[in-house]
Amino acid sequence: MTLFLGFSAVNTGNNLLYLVVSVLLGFMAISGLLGKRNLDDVWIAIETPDEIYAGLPTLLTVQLENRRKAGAFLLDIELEGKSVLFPATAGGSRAALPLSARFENRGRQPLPTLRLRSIYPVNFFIRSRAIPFDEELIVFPRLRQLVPEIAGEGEKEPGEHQERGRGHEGELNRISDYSGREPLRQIHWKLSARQDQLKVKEFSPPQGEPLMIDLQQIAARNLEERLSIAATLVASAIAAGHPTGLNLPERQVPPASGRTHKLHLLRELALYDRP
Amino acid sequence: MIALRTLLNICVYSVSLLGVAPLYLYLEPLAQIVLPLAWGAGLIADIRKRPLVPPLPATLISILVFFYYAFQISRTTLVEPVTNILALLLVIRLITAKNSRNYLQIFVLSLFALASSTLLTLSLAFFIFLLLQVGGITSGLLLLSFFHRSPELQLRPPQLRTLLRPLLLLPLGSLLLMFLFFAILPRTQRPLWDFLNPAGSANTGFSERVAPGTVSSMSSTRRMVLRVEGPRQATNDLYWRGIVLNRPVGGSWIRAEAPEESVVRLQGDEHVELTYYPEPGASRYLPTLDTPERVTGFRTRAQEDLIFTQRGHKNQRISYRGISRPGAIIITSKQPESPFWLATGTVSPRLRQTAEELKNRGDTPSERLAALDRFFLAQELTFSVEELSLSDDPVDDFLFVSKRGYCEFFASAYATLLRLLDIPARLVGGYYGGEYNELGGYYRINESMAHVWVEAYLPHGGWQRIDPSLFAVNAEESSLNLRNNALSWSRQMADNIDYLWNKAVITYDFEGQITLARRAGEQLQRFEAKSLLEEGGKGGVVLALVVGGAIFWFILSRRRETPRQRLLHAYLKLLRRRHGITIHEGEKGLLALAKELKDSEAIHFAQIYSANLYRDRPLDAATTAALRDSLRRMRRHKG
Repeated sequence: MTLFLGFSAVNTGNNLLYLVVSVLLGFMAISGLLGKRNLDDVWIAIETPDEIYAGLPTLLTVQLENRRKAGAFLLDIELEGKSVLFPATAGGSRAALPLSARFENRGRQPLPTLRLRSIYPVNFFIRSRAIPFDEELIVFPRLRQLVPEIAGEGEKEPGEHQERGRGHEGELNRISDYSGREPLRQIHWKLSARQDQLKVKEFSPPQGEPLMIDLQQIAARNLEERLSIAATLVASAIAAGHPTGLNLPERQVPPASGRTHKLHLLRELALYDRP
Repeated sequence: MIALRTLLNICVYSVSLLGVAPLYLYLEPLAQIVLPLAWGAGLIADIRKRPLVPPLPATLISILVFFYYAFQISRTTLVEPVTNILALLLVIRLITAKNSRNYLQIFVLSLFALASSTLLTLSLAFFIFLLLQVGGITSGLLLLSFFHRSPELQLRPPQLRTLLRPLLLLPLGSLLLMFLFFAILPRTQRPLWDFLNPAGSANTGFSERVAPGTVSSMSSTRRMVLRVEGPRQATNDLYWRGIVLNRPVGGSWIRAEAPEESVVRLQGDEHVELTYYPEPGASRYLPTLDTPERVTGFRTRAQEDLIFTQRGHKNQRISYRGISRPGAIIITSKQPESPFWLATGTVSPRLRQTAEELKNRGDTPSERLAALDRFFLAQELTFSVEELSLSDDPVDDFLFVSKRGYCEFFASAYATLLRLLDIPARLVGGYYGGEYNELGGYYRINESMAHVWVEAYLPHGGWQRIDPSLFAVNAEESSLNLRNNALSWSRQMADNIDYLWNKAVITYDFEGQITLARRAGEQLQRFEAKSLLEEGGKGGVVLALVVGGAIFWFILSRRRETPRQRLLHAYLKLLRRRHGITIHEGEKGLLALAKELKDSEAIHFAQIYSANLYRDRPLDAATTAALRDSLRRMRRHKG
């Protein structure tokens, strides 16, 4: 459009057309500048939940800090086709929004590279820049649906436990941070909205017998499947209140209960046979 | 919470109104009726969120409208159909449902509508419309980008406050840059599509033929013909030279090819530089303050008797600069050739006898000239533009019977007598007087100031100006003397704005660009000698503002960089030079990159830098020094 008007202006020598062209050029220059500045000095961090399972969608928290004086607008943070929009972030302020992600493989892996994109200030160009991270995350083995017999030893199947837990929903034990493991409907949305961080309702589990899981005893086609089943057992047994231990070919982890212990076991499984 | 769509609608409806308003009077009745209706209906429909016309019929109507008017387009009528197309397409867009693309179309159509109005009128109102529209369109486009990304977005008050800054910055920045681009955009000397431009109104001003006695009264309008920018001049110097008439034919004087004589120099001490802004008119002669030395301007041509004409399109608004020496005598290379310069038209016996008597009163031309002056005074002639007698021999009638007349009578009678006294003479037509506008520092010359005077050639002298009208008995109180009246303050103000608009915008051309560049260069050279305040008189202020703004912006953007960022940029630049690779900030971990390059100095820098970065604290003096030191070493051992 500017070119067309510019062409007319030159050919007619009409100074008023020149004015229109000049203002368009000015606008392009200013909007280019604003658009360029818009992506500068924007710092992005990712908060990962404690438990990330391969193949299971999880919510990452994208923290955005605008370190400029001016506001940052229309920032899209994109990860594998999914994106989250920060419409307007005032200068010097922070904002956080959840971004759904899915990791297919277990083990230690670098945080995925995000793309920061923006069409600001005018929807003519998209500016983008890659946001790499130095940090790493550990993805636990894939969880599987278990048949009741494998859950073992006259215990109730995990599904039933969870159901019982949900049955006690009125007497929830405490509110804790979202770890990635909890079903989405357990998220306390009201509280999450107020605190800029996902919160989940947690229920007290019943106590049970100690349990030792032997990786090599698990009947499965390959190592990955065995690890996957082991992880599922660890998760469900601890959730059911059994102090649980792990028997790996090289070493043993004695049974214990609690969240920290669970994470320790899952970590062992996630990193088994991997650097 | 404010819905984005509401804000966007406000922009769209004001922008479309501003775009079509300057065109409205030039549209066809159909568009004139439909436009306000559609505007109102669209507004109501958008408030109720119920579009009036579904997309498909709208598209069909658009196509019909387009072809109906497109077939009317020809070489002579191009602008009118186009404006009607623009207006009606805008109508259709206003009454249909709007997605982000439609909003954009409305903005574009509105801007085109405003732009096309420049082909119909050049009034100052355009500038006001443009300013408002720029505000509307830039804000609208900004909001549109939000709308495009998330149509149902609601903005919270704090977010709106954050958005206020770009909403102001965009239009203001665009307008500021507009002045810069306007000054530097390339211009051609002769535009190709000149015929598309609106013609200035035609004026008559002084005529190319002096024929006293053909009308009984002279109408004099106060229509402006010329503005001249420059210092105030002495009132009796305000002769604006337009045309030289050198051959009497019957009772009138015309301009004919004169024998060759070139001007050697002007004899006069003063030296005035003036800029002229003639109103576009019928005359191709360009008036200059008598006596002009030279005129510069791409579309001007000089002639031997110091007359300047306009080349090319007559109805174009132009400006030119001229150097004059007020009242100077024109020294020529040789004496005027007698047969041409002494020829007279039909001369009555009474006039011839008078000339013989005057001849006997002196032998030298100066003595005869003095005698002629005495004769003119003795005749007790009256300057008048009314109740003039019509005559076949106006000069005779004027001098001996009616004794009434205006400048043409005085000048032609005087010049005829001069020639009869063997003194070469010619008539000069132009203007006398001028209203000086103190605010703008310019003279305003209108049609009623048209005047004719005489130039006589005296041996060992040159061509000298003589105004015989001053011999009138009522010269003091005649309309001649009322020509220097000042305008009322309010009229001066209004005239001033119009003047500035024409001067700064409408007549700005290639020559203007060169002048501006030259002046900027000169000012830069003299910069040390004078203070900025003294320098910035005219264009200098604008230029200084633009340059200042640019410097300010540069400093501001530099200052926004933290010391850490500056170090990082320096480091990345060095890496680029040492290893010939392009690195974008944040593409890769610094340490990883340095290790990959196997550059020990770089690794050293990256280690210090990263260690500090993760502590998330501002750089302390020691770390800064260490980083600088590392950079210095990198610089020393290049590659």
